[in-house]
Amino acid sequence: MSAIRILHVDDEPDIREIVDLSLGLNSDFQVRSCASGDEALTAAAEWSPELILLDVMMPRMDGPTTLSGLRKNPKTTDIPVLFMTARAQPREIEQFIALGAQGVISKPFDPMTLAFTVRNHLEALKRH
Amino acid sequence: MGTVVDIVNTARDRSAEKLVDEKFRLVVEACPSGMVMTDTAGTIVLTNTATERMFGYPRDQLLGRQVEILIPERLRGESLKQRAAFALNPQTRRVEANRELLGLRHDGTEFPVEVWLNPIQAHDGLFVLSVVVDVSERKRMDRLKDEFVSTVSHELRTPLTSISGSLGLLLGGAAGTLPDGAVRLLSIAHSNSKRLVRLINDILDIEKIESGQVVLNFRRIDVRALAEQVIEANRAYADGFGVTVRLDADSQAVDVSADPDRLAQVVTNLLSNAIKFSPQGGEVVVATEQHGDLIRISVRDHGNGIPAEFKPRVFEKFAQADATDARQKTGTGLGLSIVEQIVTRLGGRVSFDDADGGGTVFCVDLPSWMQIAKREIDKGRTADAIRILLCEGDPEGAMALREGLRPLGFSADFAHDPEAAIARARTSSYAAILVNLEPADADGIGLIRRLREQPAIYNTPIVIISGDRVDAKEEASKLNVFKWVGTPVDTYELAQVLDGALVRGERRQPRILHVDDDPAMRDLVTFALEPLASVVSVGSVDEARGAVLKQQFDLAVLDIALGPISGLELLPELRNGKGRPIPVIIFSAHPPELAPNPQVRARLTKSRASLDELVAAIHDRLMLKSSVSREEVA
Repeated sequence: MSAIRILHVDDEPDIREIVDLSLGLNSDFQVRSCASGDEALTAAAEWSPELILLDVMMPRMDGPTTLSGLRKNPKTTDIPVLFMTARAQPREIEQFIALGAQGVISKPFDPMTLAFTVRNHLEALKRH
Repeated sequence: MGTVVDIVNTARDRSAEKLVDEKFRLVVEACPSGMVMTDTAGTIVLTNTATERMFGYPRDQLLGRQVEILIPERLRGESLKQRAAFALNPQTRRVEANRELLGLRHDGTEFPVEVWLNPIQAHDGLFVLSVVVDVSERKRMDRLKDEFVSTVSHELRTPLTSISGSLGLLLGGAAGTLPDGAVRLLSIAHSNSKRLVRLINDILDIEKIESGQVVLNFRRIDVRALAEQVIEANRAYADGFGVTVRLDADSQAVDVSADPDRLAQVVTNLLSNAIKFSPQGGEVVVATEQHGDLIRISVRDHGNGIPAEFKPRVFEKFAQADATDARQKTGTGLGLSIVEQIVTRLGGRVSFDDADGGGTVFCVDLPSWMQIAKREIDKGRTADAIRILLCEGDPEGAMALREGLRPLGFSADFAHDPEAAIARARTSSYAAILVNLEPADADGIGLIRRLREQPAIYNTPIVIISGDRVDAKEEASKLNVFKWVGTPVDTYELAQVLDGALVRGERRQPRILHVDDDPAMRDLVTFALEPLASVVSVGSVDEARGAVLKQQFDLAVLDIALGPISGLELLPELRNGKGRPIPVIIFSAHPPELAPNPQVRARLTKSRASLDELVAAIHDRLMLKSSVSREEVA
């Protein structure tokens, strides 16, 4: 079985590294990181990841804007997106879902269980 | 001799009086607050330098004028009411309004003010001294503080995510096995980083609640079910402390009207507090019950109880009975303060008491859903009041609006959710319907769409109450919404809007001309369209010409085969007073191919198109038209 490609987008280098390490705990995952929304749009179209983890608050192009960019491109329109955000209120989660995201992982996340959480999300997506 | 002394004394008294007068005058002039004295009719009789400076008027332009020139026009009605109320009960007090008070400068600009009213009983009658303070700077500082707290909290959270993430990875063995000593130190760092996150979250929460940014989404909630969910969600946490949590077996399934997320947060905070302060092996009991019109949720622990000297400060921010103890318990000192703020916003009360047999019981009392529902019909309605329906989830807000509108001649019934709104609108006749679009996820637009589907409500003016829902504007424009009123609602302004809606509403039943030579078809169409509009039905071209001369029409439904004459001949003559063409829907057995003609809005074939389709086409047409005319009005 080939590795599951996951694209992670966050403007904070430290968080990119921690997510990389956390997801690396699951050897099935192949992770690529992007530092901005623009970068993510290009990478997603080229690399066709199976899942995108997207930070909400980023300078210039924020998460929701990036998501709408992904949805506009036929190459990336179907890629599932999970937002990563601090303090996700139920109402905000509903808003993100309405924007076309498949779910939300709240920050700070538990690095030891992040891979497990992502796996669960992927399985839930597969069932639908 | 005595007379001379008297005269001298009197002269001395007078000059002393003068001196005192002069001193008082100087005091008034030196006062940094604006002072405006008016008679009971509102005429300015005295003012000071600060007022001149604040409002930009020279004194001679103020004296003798009505005090209302210092108030923006839209708030003057409110001010008149305040003045009338003050005359009935002249006592020193601050002007309380359900919205920000504003002053109007000479140059037309506005600024936020605080106003105190003081009665002055002089020998020639009652006067009112208004003391006016310009609070623009204070408001600006408040806003800056809010922004600062919110920015700092967000900025703090990003590095914290990295710190707690790294520590978590190290402790989880991601970088290999660590010596025991390192694990202990890292655990301390890790648990404290998590505590910092909780603290920041609580600060942000309280900031949001205090600044009114938390929008409450009231729903009908079964409190026992909610308590069960919260208990389940916190079971693991309780296990960590070796504490058991259970729902009292006698708990009643009773309903309240509240925001489910926020009420769950209240119960969670009380529960986690109770767990933290329970001894190992202790038990926490949650119970729900009805006390008359109130629903009580109680959380009882078997801890050491709250020390008497700490009781008055329990709900204060960062208040902790014993700092060392609290640190052990990893509290932020904000949980109960958040509880109190939310419960107050939900229209309830939180209290605590020593429990029988030791420990503490915290109680949250909320008005029962039944009590809220009973209040929805305005029982204080007078016979001549204009009945309106207010679709508003927040009962407190609805009550305030009802009371504000009552003296202005309106009687407001409420509907707390879409089902109630539709049921009420169908069974009672309302002159207008107000829909509050806050909170954003309550789908007020969906409600309006559903209301508009009811034939009886098709023409009822709908007014939207909303902060700033630009996203909804386009949608609403298709639904024949009369006007938008901003929040916080100014009842006086709202009453004016309603008056406008009602006047226009009387002539707003759209009028449709139906031309068809088949009497059976005329009856059918009239029957089908009656709920939407008043229909004038004619059987010939001549009758149609006559009808157009007599009346204005919003739309014409035209058959083509009218005996020997083609209905198309009528098209150029179907014009309203100013020569504006009446939009036409052709409804005919054989609609002809036509050159593009902007007057013809739709062509429907009788045999294929059902009456429903005709009604739908007309419905769309009238709605679009009304939304256009609304914009013209605005």
